[in-house]
Amino acid sequence: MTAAGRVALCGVAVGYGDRSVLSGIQASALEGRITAVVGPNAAGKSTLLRAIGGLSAPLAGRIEIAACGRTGDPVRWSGRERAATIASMPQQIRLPAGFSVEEIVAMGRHALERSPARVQAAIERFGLGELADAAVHTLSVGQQQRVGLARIAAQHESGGVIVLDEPFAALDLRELARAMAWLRSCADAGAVVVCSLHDLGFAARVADDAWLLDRGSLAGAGEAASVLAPAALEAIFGEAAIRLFM
Amino acid sequence: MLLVLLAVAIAVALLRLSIGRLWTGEGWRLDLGVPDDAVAGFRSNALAVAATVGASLAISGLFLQGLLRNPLASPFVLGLSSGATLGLAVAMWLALAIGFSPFVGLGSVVPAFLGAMATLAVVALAGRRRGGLDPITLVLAGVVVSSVCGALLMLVHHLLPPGSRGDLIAWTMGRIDEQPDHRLLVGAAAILTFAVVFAWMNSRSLDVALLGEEEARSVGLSLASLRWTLLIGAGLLAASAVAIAGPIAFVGLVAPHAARILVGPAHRWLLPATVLCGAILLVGADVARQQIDLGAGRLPIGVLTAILGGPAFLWLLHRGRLEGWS
Repeated sequence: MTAAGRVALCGVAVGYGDRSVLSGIQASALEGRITAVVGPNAAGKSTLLRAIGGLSAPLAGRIEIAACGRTGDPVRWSGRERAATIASMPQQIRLPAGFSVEEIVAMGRHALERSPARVQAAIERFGLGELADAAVHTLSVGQQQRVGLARIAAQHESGGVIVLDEPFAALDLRELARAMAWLRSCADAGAVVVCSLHDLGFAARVADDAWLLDRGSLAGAGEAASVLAPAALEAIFGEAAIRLFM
Repeated sequence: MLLVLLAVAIAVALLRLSIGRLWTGEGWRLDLGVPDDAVAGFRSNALAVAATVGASLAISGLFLQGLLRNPLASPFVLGLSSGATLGLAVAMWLALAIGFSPFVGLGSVVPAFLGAMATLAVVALAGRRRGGLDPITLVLAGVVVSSVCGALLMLVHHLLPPGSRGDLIAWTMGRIDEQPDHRLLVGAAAILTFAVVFAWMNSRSLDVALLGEEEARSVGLSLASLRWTLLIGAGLLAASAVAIAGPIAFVGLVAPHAARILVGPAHRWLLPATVLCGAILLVGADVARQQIDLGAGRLPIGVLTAILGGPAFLWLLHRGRLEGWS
């Protein structure tokens, strides 16, 4: 029997060089649920997500991922194992000029079995069908973000982990709805979704669970409704900010 | 690849013969036979040299631009060419000082490669950031190292006995030899072929590498080993080009851009196109400079490529094809 999919952080510290930005993080993201990572600017959201994606090793503690029948620390996995288990997208996507949308989306399958059908489905999923042959550097920022998400959709294997860093910042409402529908369908099919969001109201509405980061540590973790309750947020963002938010 | 190159070389050789005949008033005629005079022999030698050197510099530039994701990277800008030149100049000076030279012919690639790799090591050490190579810092370091190498080259020049300075000067201005050392030329062609075939077999990885360190890693490609392979390949290619023809600027910079405009950024097509663009650019420059005599003999090739290449690069920048690169 395979263990239920999860991302577990055990006393994790992350940072740059020797300087830690976050420490003592103890939290889990579970299969079938969308976990939002929230906190003030420079709280260390991106750094934490990079470590979860296996792109950099934590300074201390252990990250344990169980998904797609694999268990362990993603930093120790081979490139192929990591790519087959975790699909992660950085905050700033820089798409190399001259490649077509289809070529970029197909790069998601670089280390995996080639699948033109999945690449095509991912392109259609984000409404990029008519732009499939367009050069990516001619697209708007929002369209480029959709290309990035389509790349993730092409790479993601059912039941795997999806790590997204502010993936919706440049999307309009219709595209946002489309992207959220995709993310929810992945979660329903057994994915572990970890996603940083700067909009707390949005996070409270769409996420199942939330990790609230503040001043170098985890200020709260659990169901989004309680973690993102006004009383909890007021302590971090201040009363004035919360009035604005409500 | 070599066959394509050979076919192009033969085609250009025929074209050159006919241009030569036009020039000398013999009139044009199709001549598919073996060149029957010594002049034609010299010219096809020069052609093979120019094509090999041009293609080597172009592929070196393509590797550097791709792995640094920087449109301004080239063996010249990053100091590889200056390092190779300095390495050879020092070898030349040592040889004169001890009256014995082990570094002739194919052997001359050794000091050139050592020079190129030494500058590359300095540039790479200066460009290290958080365990990776930072593109911007690398280029800045390359510019500084280049100018230091230039100063040291002047020092070597100063130390040479007056009678032997001419060779060094002629060679640092770029030289397409009509009587090349054949082993050196074959060695350079072998390095070129190996580099292109290796890169072509990894063309999908080279495409993904353009996504950048983290995204490449997230789709399962580790850039660390690919980067070092490409850097060493770029160093070897630049060293063999410099050993044959001296430091020739701009071919390594402009040829990959020209190829990118022609066939797009996917390496499967970009690699052969870059070989062709580099070869054609330098062969064309060599043909052109044969016709230019400002009263002091034929124009040195390095002078012409610099004069042609600078504006060509400015034009590339102006066309905005480098958008999204830096």
